[in-house]
Amino acid sequence: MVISIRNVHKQYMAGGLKTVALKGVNLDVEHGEFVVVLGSSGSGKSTLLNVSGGLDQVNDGEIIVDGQVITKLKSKQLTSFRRDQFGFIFQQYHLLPNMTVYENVEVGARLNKNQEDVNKFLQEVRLEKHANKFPYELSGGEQQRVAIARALAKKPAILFCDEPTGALDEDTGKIILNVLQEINQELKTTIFLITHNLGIAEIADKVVKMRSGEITEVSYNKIKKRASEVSWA
Amino acid sequence: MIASSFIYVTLEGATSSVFYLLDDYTHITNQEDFLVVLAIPTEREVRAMREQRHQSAGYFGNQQQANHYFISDYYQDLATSIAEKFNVDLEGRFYYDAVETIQDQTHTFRFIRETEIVNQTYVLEGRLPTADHEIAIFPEYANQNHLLIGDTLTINEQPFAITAFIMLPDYIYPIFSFDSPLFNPQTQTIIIATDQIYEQFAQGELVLFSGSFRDEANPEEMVAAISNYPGVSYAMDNQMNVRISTLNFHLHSNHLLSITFSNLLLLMCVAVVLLMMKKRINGDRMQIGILKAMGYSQGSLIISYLIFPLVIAIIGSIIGFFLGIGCARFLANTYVVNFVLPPVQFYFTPRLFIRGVLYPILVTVGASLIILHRLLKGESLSLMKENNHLKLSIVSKGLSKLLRPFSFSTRFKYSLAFRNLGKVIALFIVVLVASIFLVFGFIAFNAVDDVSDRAFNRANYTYEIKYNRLVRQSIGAGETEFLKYQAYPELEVVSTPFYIYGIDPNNEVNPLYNGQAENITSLANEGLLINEFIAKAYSLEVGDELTMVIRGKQLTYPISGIVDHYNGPMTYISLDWLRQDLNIGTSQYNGSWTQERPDNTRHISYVFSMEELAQNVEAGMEMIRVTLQFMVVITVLIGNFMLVVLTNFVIEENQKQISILKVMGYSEREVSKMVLTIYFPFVLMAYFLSVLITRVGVDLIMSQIANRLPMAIPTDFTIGSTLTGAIIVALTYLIAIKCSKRQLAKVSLQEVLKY
Repeated sequence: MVISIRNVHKQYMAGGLKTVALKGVNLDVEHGEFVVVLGSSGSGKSTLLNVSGGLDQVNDGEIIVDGQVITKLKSKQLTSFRRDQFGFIFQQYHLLPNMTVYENVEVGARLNKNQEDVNKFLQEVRLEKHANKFPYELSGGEQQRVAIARALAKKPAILFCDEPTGALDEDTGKIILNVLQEINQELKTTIFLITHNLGIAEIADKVVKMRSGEITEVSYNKIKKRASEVSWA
Repeated sequence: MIASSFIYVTLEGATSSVFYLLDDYTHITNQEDFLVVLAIPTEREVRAMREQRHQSAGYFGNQQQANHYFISDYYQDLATSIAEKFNVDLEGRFYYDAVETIQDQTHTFRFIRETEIVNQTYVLEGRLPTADHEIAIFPEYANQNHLLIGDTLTINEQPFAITAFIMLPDYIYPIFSFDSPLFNPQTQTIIIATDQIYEQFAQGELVLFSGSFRDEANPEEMVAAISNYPGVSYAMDNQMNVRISTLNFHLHSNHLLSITFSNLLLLMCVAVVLLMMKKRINGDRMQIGILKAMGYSQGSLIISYLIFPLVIAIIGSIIGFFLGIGCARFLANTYVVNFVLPPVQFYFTPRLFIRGVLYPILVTVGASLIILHRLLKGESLSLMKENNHLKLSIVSKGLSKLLRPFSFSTRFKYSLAFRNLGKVIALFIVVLVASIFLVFGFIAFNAVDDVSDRAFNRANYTYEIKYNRLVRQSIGAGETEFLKYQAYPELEVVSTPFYIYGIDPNNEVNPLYNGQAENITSLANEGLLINEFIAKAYSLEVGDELTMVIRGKQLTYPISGIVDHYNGPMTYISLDWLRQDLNIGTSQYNGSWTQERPDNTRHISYVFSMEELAQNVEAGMEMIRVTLQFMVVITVLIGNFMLVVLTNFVIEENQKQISILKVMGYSEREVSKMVLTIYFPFVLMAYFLSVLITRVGVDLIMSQIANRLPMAIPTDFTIGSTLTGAIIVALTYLIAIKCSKRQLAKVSLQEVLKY
């Protein structure tokens, strides 16, 4: 197992009210698995991604990643762990607007101990011809592909994706999913993707359904669809 | 904003109060419009004037006057003819200096014969003397020597009762000699006594006449015409008379200072306010777009955002205004100590409120309106588009191409810095203005020490003695004699009189050094040595020729060296050469530099103790030094505060980028280095530019004022000072970064999850 989530509880204060985001969640993710976490708004899926990716602390329970109990790590150690092990892709891309496509990927590549060639990652997302463009000159899909290249350039063991197709239309969204599928299949990168789009679950190895901070169902796809075949919700 | 209004109101409030008083005072006392110094006449001129008097007096008068025609009669007749010719009032402003040693200090008492029309005596307290044992003195002299009306002051072994405290309108800054351009209120005072007492003391009175115009006249033309009248050595209008013009100069300087510094501070403030507004609007773009889509007009949105700068401007300027009023009262009263003036009442002018409160508000609001109009003019849909305002400018795109050969770190920093050109400009302005204050403070601070060091540290004598006649006494070991006269330079620009010293070119008692610390005393054999003050004020160099009128004789000398002194317009030449040119016998002199104070003060005009003089200069400079220290500290604090505000802006504006870097695994230290140090090169560039601007500005100011005042200050800014300033500026920026690191640490990882 690469990720082991054990009886994790998470609550936070919002507007003076205590909100319980995760109630004793347990989940295992294998190395190289494509996991999709489904749930509507407020189900706790984003919180699950945050605590699993070391972006937030849990109130109770533990999370073990590649043998390391990350819930016990201090801030600096967690930063270092994220640097070496995790990649992130977000709904809003979060590219650096003042840097070119090449430089945006370079931001991630610099964290890679092996310092691989940036162009290689641009080729993987088929954006090598746009290397000198700025983010505002790209479409949403292209920007998301840059974000994927940036995340990949770190050579992460696990790629956390928070609604990566949420801001995209169907066609573009499928392109992105196709890229993620390729990464998973060719590089054996573990993908942990959260979404509310039921169709996206069809490309996953494991589908985790959440509601009100709890996992309600864990299922497996014996036959995974290709990204282009996904029924878009 | 507070600082801007405060500085303006303080300085301007004080100066306008003093201007108001001065206007009143000079009017009441009929301050002179000009002064005239008559030349020492030849025998022929005296005879001619005597003949003229014969003819006007008639036969019987002739006989008496023929036998009793003195030099004073000649001067009076000449003055009368000038007055008639030019339709002016001219009165003799005769004075004589008596010197006393009181508690090891040299006190100088200037007995002045009172005038009736021009430069009337102002009685602050008491009554003018009517008996021979009575005198009137300066109030500050009385205050510093613990004297009251009714007390006794002994001068030349004669006791005098003090009956009044007085002031004279032509002695507002009463320097008694241009040799020592600092007035010491503790040891110097004017004495008004009866005519009989004046006659008793007046054995070496100087021939000076004070004049006022009877009707409207062009002062410059009139004074120039009088200057050229036969028998006149020179005439000078009151603005060239340092005893009158020094205060005007100070007031005008303060006025200039108040305008310049307050505007610079206002500029800094406006730059930061505009940045804060831009930040707010960028953060509210979505809301603004929605409001516009709903139908809110641009005007109504502008008004709502205008409240912030308006409130800042109103509160800041009002606080600064009232603080300034309080300090202006205090500053106005300091002039009573440093100048001889009646007590100053604070005088409020509407201009203080207009310039101190309304003007900063108008400037801030005006600039805000321009920026708001520009920022809010977008269509609602484009405003609602996330990150639509993050399009890159041509500058950023161009820079990106230029930076390609450089490392990632360099490319990241500069592309982030130039993404918001306004912020770069604002930071540049803030650092430039603060650095100008800092560099000015350094220059003036160093100058304060330099004036004293250069004037006194190399002198090997303890006393300078000046006689009121030529003497032939023997000179002891460790002493040297000199001849000293006033010299009236013939220059293209109007100037204050110089002094010429005839010295022994081989003396080691008062060696003279140039700016390269070379002993150039012997160059007095080859020509005239001028000092740095004269060189800077009149753009004179070694090799130039200088013509001066000395004791009525026009003499021209080549300039052979420049002495590294700033204490007054001094020139030096070989003693023998000067004796020859002025037909003075060998071994005669009228001054000496000695180790011992003379026992006998007969025939002595003054005795200056170098220690006292140095202390006077130090004391005078001390207040300047304290003011400068205060200014430098305030500047550094203001600069630091502004830099913290600006670096915090950088963090707030780039929160998402900072968050994504942290999420990706960049450490706090790496993010800090990438984001917070981006402006460092601009900070240093602004500083070095400020050095250039300030040096040029100060040199310009010095050359303008130097020909109006008999002193200047060195304006050197050495490499050492430049580096020290750079270190201070760099440290200020580093402190600002340190203060902002906490802000950086607060940027959460969840920032990237916000949509």
